[in-house]
Amino acid sequence: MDVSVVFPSRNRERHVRRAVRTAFRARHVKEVIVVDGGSSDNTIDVALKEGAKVIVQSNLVYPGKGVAMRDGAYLSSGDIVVFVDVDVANLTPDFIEKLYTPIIQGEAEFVKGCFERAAGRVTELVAKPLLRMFYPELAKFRQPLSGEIAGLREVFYQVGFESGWGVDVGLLIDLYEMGVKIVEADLGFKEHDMKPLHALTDMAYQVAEAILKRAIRDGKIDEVWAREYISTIGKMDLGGAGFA
Amino acid sequence: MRSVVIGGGHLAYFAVTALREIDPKGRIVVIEFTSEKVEMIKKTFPYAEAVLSSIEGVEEYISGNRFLIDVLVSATDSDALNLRYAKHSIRNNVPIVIAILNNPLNEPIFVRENVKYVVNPYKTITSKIKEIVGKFEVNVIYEFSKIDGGIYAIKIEDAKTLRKVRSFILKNDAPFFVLSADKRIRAGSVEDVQIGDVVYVSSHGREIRGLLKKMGGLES
Repeated sequence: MDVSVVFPSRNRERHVRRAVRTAFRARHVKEVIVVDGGSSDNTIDVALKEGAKVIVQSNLVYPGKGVAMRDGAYLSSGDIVVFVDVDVANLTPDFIEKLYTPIIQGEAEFVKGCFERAAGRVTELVAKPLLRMFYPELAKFRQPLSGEIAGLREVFYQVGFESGWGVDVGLLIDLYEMGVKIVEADLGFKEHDMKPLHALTDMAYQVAEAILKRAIRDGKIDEVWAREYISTIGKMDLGGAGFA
Repeated sequence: MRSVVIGGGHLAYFAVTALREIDPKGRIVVIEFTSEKVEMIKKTFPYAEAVLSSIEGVEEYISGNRFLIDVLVSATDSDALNLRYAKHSIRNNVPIVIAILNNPLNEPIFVRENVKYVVNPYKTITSKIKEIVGKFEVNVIYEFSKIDGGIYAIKIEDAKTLRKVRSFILKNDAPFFVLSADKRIRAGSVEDVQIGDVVYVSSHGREIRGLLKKMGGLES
């Protein structure tokens, strides 16, 4: 089975050379695709020089991680598509191979990567509680928002991609609902930049939105009730001068 | 003429409308990926044939109908798909393959991949704004689709620019006209061009790039 490795990337000139070279060293990898988010640095030129296929994501609204992932999947030609963050500092061929090995061995059609470090703040405070409420079967995943995933290409063509940060959890729920065989693969240690707290608000919102949208779609929340409930929150007297 | 348009969004809307205008009796097939959009296409374009397909089914359709397709327009909302379908169509010898971009930044990538006809619907935003505001030295007004060349606006800001532009027009026998500072359009002798005018000159790309190099860059 051939493997395509996709790196969503924006202004990652510093990381892209090493990432592309490492991906090409992994077994079964036939192509590496860099989906650029409109970089102002030399990310594109460096990726091309290293032999990667390059496309700029179709919608430049940033963050558009989901758009980048969708375009990467659409441009790929391997039997298996692997998505990895371009700025994983300790990326190795083994790290990438661990993601798709369960698929090659016929144990899974979709693999979610997880790491030794504690899950992130949005995962613990937003994704996991909401998954426990609406999709308890998925709450067992250690890192449901992990961006390191692999799947059969045909599987990715059967689902829609959320445009932003909700893409990872959206894919997990949709593929689970489709009955796709999913496993979690321990990738070991991941050295990765942590986002500052203020940068997580949008991410948390998009993750919550992706889960709640699916809960409504799957009949786990009554949409009319939800709308009425939310409107009453807007009318609540919070006292004092309001939020600080 | 037998045309295939891939995609059911607004890019495809303009493509289908144009193809219909070109050949009202021609056959137009619109391929889409969701049944909801296929139903909308049937209502919007009753003269076209709407086909529901999977992502990969499009390539099978192109291969299976390659001798029947005169024009293929790839106008999905994903430039990755548009590139993929355009390349597949070129490999299958479809005579005219056109890709419509969602993101103008992908134009050089499509050109590098030998997609000859790339429509960038956003191209005029920059040139229009520069033309309206008037802050430019050289502005691309229109680029030809079938050859490397176009119509370029050059603002004559000083004597040096005037000299170079006059010399360029004479040397290349380039067609031109002038928009003067008082908003009048003139065509005539190159000697009549003055500082403050904007010269609209048509040229091959290679030649205009030579001029631009001499002038110290291109604002496009």
